[in-house]
Amino acid sequence: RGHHHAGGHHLGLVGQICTELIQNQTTCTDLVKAADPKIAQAKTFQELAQAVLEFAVNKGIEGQTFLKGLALIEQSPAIKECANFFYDGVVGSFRSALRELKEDAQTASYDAKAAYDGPDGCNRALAAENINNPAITALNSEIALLSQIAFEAICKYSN
Amino acid sequence: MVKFFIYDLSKLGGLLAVREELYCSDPGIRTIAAWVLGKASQNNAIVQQQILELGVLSRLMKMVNSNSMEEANKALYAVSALIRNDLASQGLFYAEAGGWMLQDILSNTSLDVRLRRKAVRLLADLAAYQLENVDREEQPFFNDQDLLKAVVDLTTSTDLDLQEKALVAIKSLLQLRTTEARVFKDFCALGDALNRMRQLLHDLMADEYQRDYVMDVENLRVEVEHTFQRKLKQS
Repeated sequence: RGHHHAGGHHLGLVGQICTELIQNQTTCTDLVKAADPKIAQAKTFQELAQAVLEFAVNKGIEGQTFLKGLALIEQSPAIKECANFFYDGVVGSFRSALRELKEDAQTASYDAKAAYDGPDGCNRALAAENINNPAITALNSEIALLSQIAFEAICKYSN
Repeated sequence: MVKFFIYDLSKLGGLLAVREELYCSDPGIRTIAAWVLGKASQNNAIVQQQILELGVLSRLMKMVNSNSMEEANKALYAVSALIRNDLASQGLFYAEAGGWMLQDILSNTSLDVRLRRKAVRLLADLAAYQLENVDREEQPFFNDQDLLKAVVDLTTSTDLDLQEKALVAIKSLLQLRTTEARVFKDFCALGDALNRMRQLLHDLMADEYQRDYVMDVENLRVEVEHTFQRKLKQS
């Protein structure tokens, strides 16, 4: 417990968010440590939200590229749907949230939350086809977590 | 602090109290109440259901028509959060003429751009949710030509964010079973709108500060164009 507490302090504001994500505390901390240093170094929640969303946009694009490549190899409507429909939504929502941060934080929080729908929908599509692909599952988990972190960061300063 | 407050709302019967504030004569109080309900709905699916059971959706939709722009914005935010990914509440939204509400906002160029962004974003979400639930009967308003034209006309906006959101909505609307290619082509003149947008975006690329953003929107415009062409071929 003390270790987690100390880890939270080391990660600054994002550590506070990680400690609040009870079920994903360790995963959150691990993700942040491996991510852009700007996230852990953020001095305000607005700065944190921006850093997380910038990172999330890039992760979404990378993930979509990976899925599109996989869709060319696998003959799976579900993977194709993940690559196109669901991850179009992921990238679009994170981008939209990032652009709205300064002008309309409320809508930014909505968009950050909406990004979660992508991996959630993708997981359901895969399950419907009984596809178990650890790489896609890991990607979906990471994107879902980034959505949660960004949403929490925005909520802490928006009104 | 906000999360703690929201957590306590339900336990202490606070949601009921906030609901009453929606009827306060002071628009500032109503605005805060809408914000609280929207925030609470976003944070927790269980609370979302609790708020829906209070019967506040209809009241919030009326508040979207407020003369106070802050009240209207907060109310639409709350409506969006309340019906997000929820079949029953979306049905209620449609029954309360939600489609007409969105069309009215989207076609009124004098309204605050933030409100119009929220409206087109909500429409995009509703269409996307429909695409994810293909067995569900599609709402007739998705093929209402005046609504579709209002969305297409957003591509002429000077606000790049609004243009992008319009493209996202159009892309989903094009993929619905019941929308007609003929309506997009003839009544909405979507092809012409996309061509004008291409030229506009090309001009904006000269601005280095937003070049990346403009390129993102242009890429999306191309996707919409391809989706439109496929729709035409299928018809």
